[in-house]
Amino acid sequence: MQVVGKSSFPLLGGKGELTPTSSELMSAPEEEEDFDILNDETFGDGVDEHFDWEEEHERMAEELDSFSDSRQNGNKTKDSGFDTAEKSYRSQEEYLEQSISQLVVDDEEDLEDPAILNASRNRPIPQSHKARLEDLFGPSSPPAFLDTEHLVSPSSKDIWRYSRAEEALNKQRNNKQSNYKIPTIIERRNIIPQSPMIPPQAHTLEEIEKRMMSKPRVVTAEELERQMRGETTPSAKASGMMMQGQRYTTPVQIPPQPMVSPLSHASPYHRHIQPPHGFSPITQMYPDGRNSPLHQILASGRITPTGNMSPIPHRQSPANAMTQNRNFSNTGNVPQARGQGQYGSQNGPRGNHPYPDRYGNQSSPVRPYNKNHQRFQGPSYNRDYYYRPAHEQPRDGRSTDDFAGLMTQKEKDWIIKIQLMQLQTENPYIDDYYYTNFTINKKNKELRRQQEVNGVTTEEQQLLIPHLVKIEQKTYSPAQFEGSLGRLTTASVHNPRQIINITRRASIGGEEGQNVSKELRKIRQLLMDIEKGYNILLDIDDLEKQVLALTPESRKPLNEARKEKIVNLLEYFTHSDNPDNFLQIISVRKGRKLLSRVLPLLDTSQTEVLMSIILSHLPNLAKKDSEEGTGQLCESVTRAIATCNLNMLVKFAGQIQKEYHEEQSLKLVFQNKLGSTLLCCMLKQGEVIYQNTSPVDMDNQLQTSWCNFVEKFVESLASVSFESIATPICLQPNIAKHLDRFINKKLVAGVEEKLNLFTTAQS
Amino acid sequence: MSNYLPGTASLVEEIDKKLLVVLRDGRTLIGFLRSIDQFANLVLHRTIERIHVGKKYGDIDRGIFIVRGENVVLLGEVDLQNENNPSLEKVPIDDILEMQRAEQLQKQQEEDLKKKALKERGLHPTDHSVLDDYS
Repeated sequence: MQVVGKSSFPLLGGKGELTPTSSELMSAPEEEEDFDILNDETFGDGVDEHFDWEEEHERMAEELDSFSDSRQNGNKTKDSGFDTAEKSYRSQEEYLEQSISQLVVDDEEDLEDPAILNASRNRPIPQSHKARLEDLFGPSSPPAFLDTEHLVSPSSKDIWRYSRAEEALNKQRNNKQSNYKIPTIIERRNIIPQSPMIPPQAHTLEEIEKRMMSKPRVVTAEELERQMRGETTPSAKASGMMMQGQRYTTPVQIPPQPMVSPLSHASPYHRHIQPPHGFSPITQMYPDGRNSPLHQILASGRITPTGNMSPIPHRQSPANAMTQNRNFSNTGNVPQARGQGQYGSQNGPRGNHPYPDRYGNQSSPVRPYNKNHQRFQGPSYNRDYYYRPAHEQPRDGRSTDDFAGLMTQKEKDWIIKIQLMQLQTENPYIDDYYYTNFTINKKNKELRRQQEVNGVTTEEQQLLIPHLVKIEQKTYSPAQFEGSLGRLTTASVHNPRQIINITRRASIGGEEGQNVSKELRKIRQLLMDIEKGYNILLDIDDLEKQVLALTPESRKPLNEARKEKIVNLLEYFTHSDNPDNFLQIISVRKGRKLLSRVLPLLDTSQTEVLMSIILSHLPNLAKKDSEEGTGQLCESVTRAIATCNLNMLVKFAGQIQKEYHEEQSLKLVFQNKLGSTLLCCMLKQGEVIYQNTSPVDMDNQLQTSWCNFVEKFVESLASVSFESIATPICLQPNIAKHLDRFINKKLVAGVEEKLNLFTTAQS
Repeated sequence: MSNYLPGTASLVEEIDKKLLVVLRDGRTLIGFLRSIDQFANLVLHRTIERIHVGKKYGDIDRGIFIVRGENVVLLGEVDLQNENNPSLEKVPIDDILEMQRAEQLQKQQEEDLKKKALKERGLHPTDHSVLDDYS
């Protein structure tokens, strides 16, 4: 599909006249095959000659019929859910089951695209295989280490789904379910893990609505609390509730009242009840206050009834409580009973000890609960208070947040998991440069501090970016929908597909170029060149970073590339054809900065070359002292000199003298920062060299030249006025020592004051 | 910043806290954050909408709000201790609505004047009432 301006409107891409020679039109695919390529990319190459949609359709129709048959036979395992979901349900159990299998169905095999995860598909054909989503999110997926809960719960997009093993188990249970008419509590308990939150919630919302409509007034939290505290009227309402509730025979919850006073009553219940296998553990693993009292209640295995349900009359007899249990729906999401709030505060100290570990190993946390709360009040008491720092609102002793814990820990983890996945990156320096540098610097600072303390020298850390081999991504084959007419597009964030082809004609430049003056163009060209230089610098930087993560062998090509680039840079500075080149570069601040960044990268011979060039332009650079960029240059020059040998030093010295040939003095050199820095560094380096090498090894000629230079130095220093000396960027205390080698004391004493400028810090 | 998301912020930590949320249309909601999702859609509980006019404000009870994430400008935790002693004066809802209407009217008049002035000078006026990235 092409949208190319054939109109005469320039804005739409037309040229003012219908020119068939317009470049865009020429390049547009005229052939049908090209169209098809584009189409195939979008829609997928569904060229399956054997694919006959009519046949497919008929097959599907047959299957549907067979499903409805099997459905009636009570064979629920193969239930697909889609079309049968709306048909009659014998009981709520069956409805529940339908919805469960419906959720199963939603897992598409071809659904690789998380962006269209939740698109519902009409796929009546049952799924015997799991979604590839589990490859994305499951334990074997690359970011699986982020799967904080892959052992227990959803490894797929559906957070209500559990691990495959449990799914299989649950499916078995599903079968059994059909045999039960009146589920006992035990059975109910088992159902809990597989009950997805969504369908029951839909029900309970309806339920709530109905109740709201039937009830004349809204039960406020305060009222509930009042009721629970002892009025008997609620019980009537409770039974009223029961009637409605009976329609939904969803999993039961054990009301929390056993926890409070009639604990003795409660004990028989607890023994019967197996904690749900793989039930979403509301844990206290994050000790940062996410555990409201409600969490603890839930953690210890009790699920509270829904908010608007009848208040839990804790004065009622256990028998009543039992019957009520049956009819309470399990809704993790609907606000927990307001009554819970008050229990929370009372239960806090009583020791709701959390699940032993969050991966669902329920080694009877419930059974010993009774004993626990009586015996081990101490430690759990403390633990509770530890786990509730952030929510310590109720200083008055009364918990005010009755609706806390609406979002289960599992849901939170799911969100966190998504967020963690969003944070993953292969190139942190690109995606999150500042934070990366920030953490590295922080770590290095810490290391340095430790080094001072311990005296251990550990290498400073640098971020290693392991070169992750990209998992073989299957070439995208767009999802195909069965039962649809034609092919539907599934373009999304992860699989962008071109739908409309809009291209811009290349702008015809040069018309305006004439207006630009030659000078301006030259300057621009200069800037462009400098920028190219920076790009090379960046490439070198990247290579250096990549090198860190590789083996020595694989590093070689990268190192080679790096060296090559450095040579390129050097050549840029040393263009022999244009002697003014360097001057031009220097005249631009960016150029100076580039120079200072390149200098450290060079090896000795290269340094020499560049340094001589710099020195040959010293007067010019001196003029630019006040401008930016020279400071950095000073630094890198300093560093460069520190690597010099005597030969080079002498050479440099000679060059400096050459530059200031007319004055026969280095007076001017002292008057700018760069110059004085230079000289001081050279002297310092000289001292270092003289210290480290025995007189025998040193070339006599060099020595004499050096001696001359030092003399010159002192002379010039003597002649320069004190005020006009520029302070070097760093002080070199050894200069005095060095001077003593060559110069007699009297002379040295003469310049001592000025020397102090170089050697000691001035207050 | 949580320990598993270093250098980031996550709404997970704000759950069950009393938050003040400012929406793109300028409304201010205060409520308990009960649930979130990956798009930062919010479920606010016991929400009140607070209307500010000058130094006065008024609250409207709203109940449960579900806010689409893209409409949130910012949100922040409400300081429960200092919540009840602001330097602002609380007025009944009707009054504040009246005041808001009056303020809107005045603003509208000013805007109209400005628009007229711009048009006279040949400039195209833009609508700044909606905080939108796209206009």
